[in-house]
Amino acid sequence: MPRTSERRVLEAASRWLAPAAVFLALALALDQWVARGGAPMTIPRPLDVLHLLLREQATLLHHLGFTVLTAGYGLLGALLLALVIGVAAYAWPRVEQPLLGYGAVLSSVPMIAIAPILSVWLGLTLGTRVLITVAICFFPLLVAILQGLRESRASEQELFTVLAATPLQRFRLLALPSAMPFLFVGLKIAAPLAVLGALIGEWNGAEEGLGVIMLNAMFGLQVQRLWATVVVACIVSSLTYAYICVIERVAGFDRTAQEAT
Amino acid sequence: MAGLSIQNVSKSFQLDGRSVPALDGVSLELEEGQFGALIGPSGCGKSTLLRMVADVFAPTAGHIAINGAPPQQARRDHQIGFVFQEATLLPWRSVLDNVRLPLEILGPGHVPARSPEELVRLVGLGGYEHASPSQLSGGMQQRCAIARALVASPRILLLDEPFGALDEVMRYRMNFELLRIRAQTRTTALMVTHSIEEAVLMADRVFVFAAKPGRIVDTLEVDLPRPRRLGTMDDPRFNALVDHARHALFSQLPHEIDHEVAHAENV
Ligand SMILES: Nc1ncnc2c1ncn2[C@@H]1O[C@H](COP(=O)(O)OP(=O)(O)OP(=O)(O)O)[C@@H](O)[C@H]1O
Ligand SMILES: [Mg+2]
Repeated sequence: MPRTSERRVLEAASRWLAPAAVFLALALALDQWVARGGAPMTIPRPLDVLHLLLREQATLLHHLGFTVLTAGYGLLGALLLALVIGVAAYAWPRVEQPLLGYGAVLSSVPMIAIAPILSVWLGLTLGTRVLITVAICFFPLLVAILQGLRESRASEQELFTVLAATPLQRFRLLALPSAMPFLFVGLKIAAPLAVLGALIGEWNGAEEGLGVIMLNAMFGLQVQRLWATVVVACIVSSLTYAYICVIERVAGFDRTAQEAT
Repeated sequence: MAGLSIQNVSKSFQLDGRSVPALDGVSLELEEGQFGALIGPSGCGKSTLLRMVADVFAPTAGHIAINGAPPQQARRDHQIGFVFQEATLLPWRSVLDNVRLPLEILGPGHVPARSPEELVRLVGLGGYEHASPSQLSGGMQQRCAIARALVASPRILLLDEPFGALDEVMRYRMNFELLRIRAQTRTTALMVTHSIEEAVLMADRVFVFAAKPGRIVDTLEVDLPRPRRLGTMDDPRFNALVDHARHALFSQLPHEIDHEVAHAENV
């Protein structure tokens, strides 16, 4: 039986090292394949992309800053909007069904098609890009919050009835804490979507941002540069997810972690 | 009138569009500070009766009065302590914070007779104050729920099989602990249990229920001296009462069952 510290190391290894090794092996295989000239033009050598990432680090980070800012504002805006509307629907249950109906229809409108219209109407500003991000993130958050606020068990509701809790206490002490795990599920879906929203916003016109470099690289047929931006976008998307997971754990709403201890 | 008064209470539930009677004409009285026990087969409406006393829902017919007032008023005045059949602890709160919940709902004006910390120790959960409910066994969760029901000094205590998940030894300990706390506070109590011995050991009155529809078929006056102790169970009167309650309970079984069992064992 290995000691706990050893086991930790083993666990971390199986969790991070194994996937990393697989990834590395695939990347190297791809690199060899492209180097031998067997691959189409549009696939660059991973090593070249890596070089470019390191060489243009400063530029990429500069543009990435704008994208992250847009995504952050957008996610926050969507969260606030979903909370306000979710709580209103909790207070007036009759509006919940119509709200979900409209929400579902609106969220099925492809944002990539609407974004240019919004840009024409509202101008190529940060506000427009944030709005596009809010629109993309809003619905999953709303569904999560509505579901969460209704999630308490019948026996828990009875407990609060017997304790003669006011509606506000019932909300604050029962509905809201019950909703937190759901809220985090919603956030984990919405956070990578926020990065996507920011990119879509930038494709429709911006001076700076990862989406701008992406577009320029595409039209300039700079394959390595294009791939570098894609890699950065992937990493940032995953990091937003990880970031939400960390907040969830720190705030103590990670039920799986609790049960494991 | 002080105490608990239940007059001719009936309750029907809607099931597939039909109205199914769960309780039919139940009447019982407890004086203030008295301890009542309900025993009866599963599904005879014991939990339903407790819920109506706590004003979770209203009876279809009949009257309930807690210290002379309707249940709605007693509930609004925070006079009811309820231990549910399942512990119903909030999973995101620690043991101590679960016990504190009624005080939070009462607001800062209320000074509890016993602090939540003291109650947690009293139910044997000292050292587990900051544990989460998922880290407790079923019996420990139930003891936490008992502490929570007591923290706001209720004037009536409703207990739905509070000790069902406990082992024999812990069960007796909790029985006597509850009797001790109640002797100090003079709280009226009504407890559902499946143990005839427990009912007779703790109660002043035992109400024996029958099912379909739920009704009281017998009421036992338990005149055993207080404080009750383990020795109480050696008292011949104790055993006589237990036998009496058992007969009242088993009289509901159709007699064929006896024959069937005898037949099955002979084969
Ligand atoms: N909310 C409800 N809706 C419909 N029927 C109900 C409801 N609650 C209870 N019943 C019915 O009322 C009857 C009595 O239920 P109750 O829970 O009071 O039984 P009980 O005596 O507490 O049983 P047990 O000892 O198993 O806990 C049952 O037949 C049950 O199906
Ligand atoms: Mg029951």
